[in-house]
Amino acid sequence: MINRLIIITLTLVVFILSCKKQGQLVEPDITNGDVEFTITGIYRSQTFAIQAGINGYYMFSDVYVQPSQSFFTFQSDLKKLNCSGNCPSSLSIFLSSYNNDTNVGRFNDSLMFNTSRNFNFTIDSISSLGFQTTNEIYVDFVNNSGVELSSRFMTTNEGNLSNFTITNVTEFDVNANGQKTKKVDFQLFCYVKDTIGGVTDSLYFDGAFGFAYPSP
Amino acid sequence: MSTLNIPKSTIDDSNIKIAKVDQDNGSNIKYRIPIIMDVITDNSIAESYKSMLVSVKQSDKFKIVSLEKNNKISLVANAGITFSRGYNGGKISADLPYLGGELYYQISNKINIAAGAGWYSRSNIGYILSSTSTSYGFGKSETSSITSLDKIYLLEIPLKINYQLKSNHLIGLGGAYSIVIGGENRQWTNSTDYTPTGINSNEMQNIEQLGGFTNTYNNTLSVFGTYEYRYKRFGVEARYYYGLNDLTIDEKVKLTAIDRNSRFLITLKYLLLK
Repeated sequence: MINRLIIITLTLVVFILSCKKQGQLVEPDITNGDVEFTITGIYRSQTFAIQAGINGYYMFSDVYVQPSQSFFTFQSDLKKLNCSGNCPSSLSIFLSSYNNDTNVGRFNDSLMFNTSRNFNFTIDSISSLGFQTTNEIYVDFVNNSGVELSSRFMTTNEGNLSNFTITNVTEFDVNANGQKTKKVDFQLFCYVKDTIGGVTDSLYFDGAFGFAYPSP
Repeated sequence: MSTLNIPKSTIDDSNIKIAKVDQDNGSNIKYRIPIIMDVITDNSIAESYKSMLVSVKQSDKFKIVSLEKNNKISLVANAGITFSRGYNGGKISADLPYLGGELYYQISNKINIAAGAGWYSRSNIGYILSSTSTSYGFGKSETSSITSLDKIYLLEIPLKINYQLKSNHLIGLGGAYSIVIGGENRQWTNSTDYTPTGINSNEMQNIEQLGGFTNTYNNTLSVFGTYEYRYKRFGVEARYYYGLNDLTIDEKVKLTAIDRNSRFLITLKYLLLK
């Protein structure tokens, strides 16, 4: 009799205690990393900011040698994916190498990208593409209306007032072309125009761009 | 050997097997008689005996020749099945096996204590963890994952005290500390990279990553009630555990309810050593 009572009691305890509330699933964990490549600043008295990875923007980077040139050209564009031609609200920075040498094995990325580098703005009155020589920079900017502006159309005086300062350099990932890249933080001030003698705007940007560089 | 007071209630009639062990030319026959008794010596020290050797003459008078001491410690092997209730729909699962062992110490004829270790599993965990993460480089990469925590393996350390209600029937109370030592889970991961060449998606499934995700669980402390029936060297025991703390770490598994790791255990027992 006692044994039966014990077994019945244990069984009741099991069933009573097992009637518990169900667990509730809540929202999944959502984590967001930091944006790597960006430009922020002032354009026509308005805040201007674009970020790689946000709203379809992508940091394009490439390094190549233009025909008839004896140095590397570094091109980086912050623009939307699947956009060709004049992409509204985009910025492209072009740099020429530090010397006349297209040998990949002899290229020194530390000489190319460092906080002591000074680049001269290309003043290109005949609107030809590319650089004339080494250690130059020019900037192409497409505003919100899709109007392409370039620093190449500056006057010499405006070019002397413009500057591009590298504030930090770190090694970054390999880009979509399989090229090694550097993440370059910079400050940019320059004038941009739609044509020679056309409408003049000025850019005050802080930013970080990825620059591909040659490596064996 | 002095006069002994042997309570009749300590003799299990059904188990008495009197064995004839010797007979000399003088017609003295020696028998070993199984008997459980505690003797308080002159020094007030309790000594337990499990059999006595008696010598019988033709006159039918018994003379106790010697007593064989009873070992108070015994080792028992356990194998059983665990029943528990999971979160998803309150599903009850039966998990095989429970494997363990216990060391019993006989405090008195009626009371013993036992400590041991047991390995068991729970297959009705069914917790779902989902997460999405976005990372930025040249563009954007999104990774979403769903992880189903299906099963866990635990090691428990039980400690109990038993009281013998009557011959072969024991009830007891105890506590157990369970440590999560491993688990099985399935994980689905989908990563999407937005690149100039298009959107690249990669799906991946991992199954049964043993030992994974144990960091989502707390070790648990339970109290339990137990009933045990013994027959010769075998026995059967039923226990119900009531957990005192939450098995899952709520911040990690995103569950608001408490899983106490309460469970019902039935084991078959076998006396290995005594």
